[in-house]
Amino acid sequence: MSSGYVSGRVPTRYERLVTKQARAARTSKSDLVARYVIEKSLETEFPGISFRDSLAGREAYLTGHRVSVWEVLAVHEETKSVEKTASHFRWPRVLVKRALAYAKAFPEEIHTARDEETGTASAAR
Amino acid sequence: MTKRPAQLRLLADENTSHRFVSACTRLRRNFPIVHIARWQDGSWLGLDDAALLISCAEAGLVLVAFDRATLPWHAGQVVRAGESHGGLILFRRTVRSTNYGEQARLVSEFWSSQGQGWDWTNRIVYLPKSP
Repeated sequence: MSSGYVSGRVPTRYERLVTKQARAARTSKSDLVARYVIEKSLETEFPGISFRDSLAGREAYLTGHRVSVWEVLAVHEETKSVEKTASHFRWPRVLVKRALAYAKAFPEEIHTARDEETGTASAAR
Repeated sequence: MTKRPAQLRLLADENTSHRFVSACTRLRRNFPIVHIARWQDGSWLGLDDAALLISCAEAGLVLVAFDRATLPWHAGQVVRAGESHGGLILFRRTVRSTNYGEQARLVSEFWSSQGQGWDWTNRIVYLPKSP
């Protein structure tokens, strides 16, 4: 994937905070800033989606819930219906639509997360 | 340290459906299971895996969820950090997300025949169990 350059100035206290967080995450400051830029811009583009750590790396999930985007997609593949998927989780349809919109925009990321989460577990047993 | 309730209960994680919980109580009246969205007015929905596992141990709850590698991994992390989790029952991926009757049968039969008598501290069981 090609990459571009993003730079910006922040107050010193935030620079220190990012430096501390990068050290804790055992990564470089620039890699952590890049991740923050990517994830925050995606959260703005796809409201209701956030990111968290998983064995597969960072994974997209529904903000305020415990369900990953790939899990919503998996249920939707069984139900073949937004209505039925929303009923499965007892959620408003908009949450299912948001998850599916993200999955449609990033199919490879979602399928990789799903494979890692389901495949790794069975291989380890 | 929080005192554990005498009787263990099952907590269905959010990747299971309310319909699974209803199916359990249809199979066995008073089956001790509650969906996470109804537990503590849904305030546990925002918990990350590690926080949920520790909270379940304190409340005497065994977590029931669909298998995803991260959850047992976090359970291991919790134990390595010197904390305990309250036990995990995970559906293998052969169990379909929407097959509520099958999920309810597996959990209720296992719980009634074996699970309710166990010490669930730091224990993980996959359903269906291996032959």
